[in-house]
Amino acid sequence: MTEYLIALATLIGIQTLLALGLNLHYGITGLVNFGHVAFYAIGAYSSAILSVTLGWPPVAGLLVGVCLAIAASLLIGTATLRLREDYFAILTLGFSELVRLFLTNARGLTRGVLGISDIPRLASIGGVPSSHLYLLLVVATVAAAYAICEVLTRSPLGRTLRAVRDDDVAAASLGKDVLAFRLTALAVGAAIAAVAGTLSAHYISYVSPDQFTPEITFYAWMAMIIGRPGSMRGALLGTAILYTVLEGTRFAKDVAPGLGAPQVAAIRQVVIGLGLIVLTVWFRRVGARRAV
Amino acid sequence: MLADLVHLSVTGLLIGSLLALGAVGLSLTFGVARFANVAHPDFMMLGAYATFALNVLAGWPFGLAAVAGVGLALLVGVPIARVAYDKLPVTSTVQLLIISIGVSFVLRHLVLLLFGSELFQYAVPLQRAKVFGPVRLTPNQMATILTALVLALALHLLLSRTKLGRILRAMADNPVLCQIAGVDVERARIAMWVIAVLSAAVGGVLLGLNLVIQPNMGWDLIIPIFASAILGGIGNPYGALGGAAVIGLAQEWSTLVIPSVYKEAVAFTVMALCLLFRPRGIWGAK
Repeated sequence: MTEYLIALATLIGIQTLLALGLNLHYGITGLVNFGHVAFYAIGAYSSAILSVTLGWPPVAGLLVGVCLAIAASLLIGTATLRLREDYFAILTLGFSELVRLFLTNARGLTRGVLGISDIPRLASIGGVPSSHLYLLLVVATVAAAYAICEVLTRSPLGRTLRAVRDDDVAAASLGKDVLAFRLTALAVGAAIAAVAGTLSAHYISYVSPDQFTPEITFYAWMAMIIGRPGSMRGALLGTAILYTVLEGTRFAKDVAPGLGAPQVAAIRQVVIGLGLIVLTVWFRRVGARRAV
Repeated sequence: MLADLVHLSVTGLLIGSLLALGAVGLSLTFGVARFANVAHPDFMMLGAYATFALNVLAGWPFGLAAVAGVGLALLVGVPIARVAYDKLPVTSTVQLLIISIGVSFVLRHLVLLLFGSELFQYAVPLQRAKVFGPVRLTPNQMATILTALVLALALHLLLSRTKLGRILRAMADNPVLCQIAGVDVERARIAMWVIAVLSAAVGGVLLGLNLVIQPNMGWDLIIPIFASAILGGIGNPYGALGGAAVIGLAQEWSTLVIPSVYKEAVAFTVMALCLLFRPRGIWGAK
């Protein structure tokens, strides 16, 4: 039971990083990012490829993943952030599906649907089990990311980002370079997602394309909406609530024994869809922006 | 080489007609309802599965099943769109975007629950391709291209020659002014969803006829369909027809140089470049 709780806490910690980054994108800056999972996938696969195929230390994978995610976010951002928010949403969603397409088909690099296994795990030190140490590492990372996001939000930069979110024309007329501010927020959030990817790869020791479906993005959206967009503490709490509930649905099989694993998975997805709709309508804060 | 090019061009136009049937409705709703309906390609899937259920499970002849299947898709799709997009108390585009993601999740996975993840095909006889010089087309393929053209023409006439068309174009232009002028906005929106779901469902039936039927058949086309609508200029349904032809051809021609699994990347790149340099679409003003 302790091991299970530790595993759940580790999962929640890693997913919190995604919600924090997304909150920086949408909650603070107003960027409708529907492809957050792409940055997570980039981090995870960078770590997997560098540590397994090339045998480099985990830190190398981490750094390369972060750099690639930042580069990708800047590329996407420059192309679309000047336009209406729905274009950015579609482009990011498309980008995340393309990343998955690439991971599935570039077999020489990613081993396709087989995925990459035997990614080195953290060794146990001095009799403390590695799962406990890893949870500590994850918690420390979440604390650091949380601190970065809070500081960013409260700093003059955060004020400008919120101004850009609430009225980009006014911000621009005050001499703020709206695109540069948006790109900064986008890059920081993407980097945090890449870190989450590295943590996940070295934790489950296996990556495959089906871990990086759009569901991950929309779980982060749900977590952020539950916690109220714009609140970093909310992102923490929202992720904890969401994943505890989602884990609970795993026991649905025990309640309704007639259902197979695919049916339970499908029901979960239906619940996610309904959840997105209900939460979006319920928590009006999502709609606090001006209608375009 | 030339034969390859001809063959790819024909396939490209075929794919383009299927994309067009998805893109025209998307473009219309993007213009009038003013949000990107991510669940739009899933209305195609609804049409395909409704037809499949009547054709294979109930044993109806394909033609009858297709017509009734499109009707069934309308009966399911239009109320869903009305409730999710028109009736919920929302205040912003972003909420509608997220809701449409939710609708897409629900539709695809309900179908998965009902029918399973198996790949299905209609019960239609195998056809021999007809040869016209270097071009080979089966009757089904010809019917697909013809249907896309007829539907596009019908939509063009509807938008340009009828009162409803005038209202829809006016709503895309300025919804507030429309309401002030006494236009029955509610009725016009119902008509808009009927047109959108109808064209998508017809596209879905043909998609199932040319490829396979599976729950993600619409979702998988989300990039090329949006690319077609954006290339044609959002809110410009006939532009979407041209956009779809360009995307279909670009995807097929690209297979001469890059592996065919990356076709979607081509659609994505064209979409990104178009947004960067001509955000109003290739036919629109700069």
